[in-house]
Amino acid sequence: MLAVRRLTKHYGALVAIHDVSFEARPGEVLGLLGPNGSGKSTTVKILTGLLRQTTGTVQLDGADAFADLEAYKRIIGYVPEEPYLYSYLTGPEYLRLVGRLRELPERALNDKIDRFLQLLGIYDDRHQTLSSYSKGMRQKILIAASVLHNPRIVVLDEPFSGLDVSAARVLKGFVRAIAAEGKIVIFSSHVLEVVEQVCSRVVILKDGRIVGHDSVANLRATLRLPSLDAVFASLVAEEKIEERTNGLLAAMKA
Amino acid sequence: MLHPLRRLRDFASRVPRSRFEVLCRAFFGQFFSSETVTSDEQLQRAMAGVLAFLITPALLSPIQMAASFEFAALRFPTMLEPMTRQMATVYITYSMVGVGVIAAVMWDTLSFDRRDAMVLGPLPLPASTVISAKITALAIFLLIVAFAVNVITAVPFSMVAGNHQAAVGVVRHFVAHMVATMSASVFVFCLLVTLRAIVGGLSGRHVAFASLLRFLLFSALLCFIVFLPMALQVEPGGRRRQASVQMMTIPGWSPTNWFLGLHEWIRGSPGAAWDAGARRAIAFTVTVTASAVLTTIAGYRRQLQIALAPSATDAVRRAARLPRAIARLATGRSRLARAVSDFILSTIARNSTQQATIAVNAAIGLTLIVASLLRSRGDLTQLLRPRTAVLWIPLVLIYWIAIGLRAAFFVPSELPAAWMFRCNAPLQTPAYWSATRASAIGFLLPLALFADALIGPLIGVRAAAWHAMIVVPVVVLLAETIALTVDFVPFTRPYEPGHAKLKTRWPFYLFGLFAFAIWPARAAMYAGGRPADIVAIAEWLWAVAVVLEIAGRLRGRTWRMDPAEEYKDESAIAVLNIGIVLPNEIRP
Repeated sequence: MLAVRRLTKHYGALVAIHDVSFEARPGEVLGLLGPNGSGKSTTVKILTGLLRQTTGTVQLDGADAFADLEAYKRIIGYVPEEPYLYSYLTGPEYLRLVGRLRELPERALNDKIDRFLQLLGIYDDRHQTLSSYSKGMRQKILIAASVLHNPRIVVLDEPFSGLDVSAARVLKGFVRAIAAEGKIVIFSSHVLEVVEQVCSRVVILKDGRIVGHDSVANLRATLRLPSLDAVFASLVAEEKIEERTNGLLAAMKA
Repeated sequence: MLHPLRRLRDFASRVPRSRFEVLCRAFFGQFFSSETVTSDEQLQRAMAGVLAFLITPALLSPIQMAASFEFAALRFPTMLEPMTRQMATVYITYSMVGVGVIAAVMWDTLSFDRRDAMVLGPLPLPASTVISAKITALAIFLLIVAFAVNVITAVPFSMVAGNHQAAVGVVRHFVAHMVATMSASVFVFCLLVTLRAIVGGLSGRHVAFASLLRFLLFSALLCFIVFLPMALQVEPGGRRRQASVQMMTIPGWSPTNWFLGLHEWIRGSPGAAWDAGARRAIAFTVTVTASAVLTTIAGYRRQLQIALAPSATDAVRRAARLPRAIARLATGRSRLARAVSDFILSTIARNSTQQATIAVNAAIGLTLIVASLLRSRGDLTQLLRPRTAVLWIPLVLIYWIAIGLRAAFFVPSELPAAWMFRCNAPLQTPAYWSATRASAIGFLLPLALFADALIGPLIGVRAAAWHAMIVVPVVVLLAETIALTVDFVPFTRPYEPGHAKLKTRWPFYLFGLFAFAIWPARAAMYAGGRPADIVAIAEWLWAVAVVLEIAGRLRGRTWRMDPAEEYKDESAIAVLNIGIVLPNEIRP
């Protein structure tokens, strides 16, 4: 189990997250929700070891996960929100680089890469550099790279961004299947419909603090609201939505 | 009360700008922006340095020539005209080389690229507006650069050379100088714009082509600066010594002679040869300018096609095959080191920023080689036997390429993507050191052997082959030294301005020149082609390499990947300054 305890991160005077605590259990997909600037990406980056928290701990099976950061990173797979890749490499070259850095056996790695490329529908583009890939194709490469080493923990930050409908459907099923394999999956997204379909529990962040943490069904029942969208709106969405919508319309017409 | 200039600026800012003007400003701004440096101030400082480097010799040389012209006017009046033509040729060459170097530095912005097509293509802009804005921006840039480069020589030189003529003569000299040098600048600039548009549209190898061009043009500039003092030497003589005037010969086929013809034609010098040269200069300049305009138009349409339908190619797979194979041998069984060395060599093979750094340093090596070879003063028979000036050719070239390679390691490539290493790679492993050393060997060794093969026709194939016995361990020594002075995976850290510290560290670079080029070449010279002696020298070099290898292995244990990305990333987005922010994911 991955347990986050009283996590706080300061960027100078700015408090990105404050006193955030939650748990992610094997076999479940934990959703991280929140508006822009709520601290989702900061939380995700701390969970992946890319950022150091100011205070608090991340525990894996009761022990400090970052005590042996290298061992922790070996069991984690990560899809970042922004698809930053070495754009002058081809898709297979990028995956091979990731696989070799993770010291996967060469032959198995090449087989795996070919299978991933074929299954994700980008095998025919294998000789092109990533600079000529569409956003969705890059996203597929990132997803393949994150699970290449069969990680125990998978952290996905907006993983379906730019994917076409059929690829998104396949990968939604894939995320659920990964969790069913007993792995810990953390799924951060703005797309509430997807979160509702994929996640067993959700953590809702606002201004760096947790404002909701439960299963989707329980949240709906507790707040007596029909959907996650309504739950989210009641917990974090700003007031005066109609007023702001009209303001935008007026600005457009000006 | 507002300052009049400020009021004028405020008034100008209120005047609505046409789309053409907005685009033109955006394209012009591209010449002064870079995605590698992290601040405008840093870029401006670098540009000021380059300009100072370009301008200083040109500014000083006419002043330096003043005494020679005075002496010639008194003692050899008939020499004044040949001397004037000689120096005019030199300044025409300077104009061509100087503007060529600036254009080579700005290579990527000389024509449209895929990003321009992707950003501007969807906007409701007629292609004619986009193309004419680009051509206008190029023309403004060319005029500013060419004027700045040439007026510096025109003013003092017309005063020095026209000192013994009436004011009209000075003015006529100035006009002739400006027209000839500006035409020469336009000729070179337009030629490079044409090449850029053609290479960018047709070839998948335009990055390598640009680096080769930069290498050649920087070499030409450095050679020009080195040989400038030798172009014209007037020795006054004395009681026992005769006065003498020595002038460097300019080959008749050189394009500079066309523009010299134009220069002389405007000055009113009689002679059919000048008229023919002037006609040729005008014809070529007009033709090349027209071709630059046409290829720029074709380039935009081509880039739109490429942006819409990227063509599959396996050209990228062929890049750096030999260096990668050598590096794999040097990394041994470590797959991690192999992966990192592949990454390093692919990055160098496919990125113009890294290649440019190497090309500029290689140009210094080539200049030193040319300078030392020309000390034979045209007696090429001296070069047909082993001597230090010949034996050091592969060594000095590879030394400066190694300096460039090390500098390139500090220049980041796609910095935001470095998260991948932090997330996937071990935090601490000697494999990073091993990969850096192996990639340096893989990169340098083929180049060194190629340079060694080039001296084969001069000193004989057998002698060159024996010399390779010394060149190879020197390459390994260089690679070991580079790996000892870097402690991170190359290209994955932000560039720290001024890390090279050339002002204080130049003695180290000079010592390196002796240690890796001059002393090994001299040792090879003393060996005199005797195999036993060459083997003995090679053994010593390998022994030093082994010591460095041990030191490197020990230091390699401390190499560490920064576990966290705590720095502020400023290169996350690319902005084309027309009010549109292009997300990084669709950057070409």
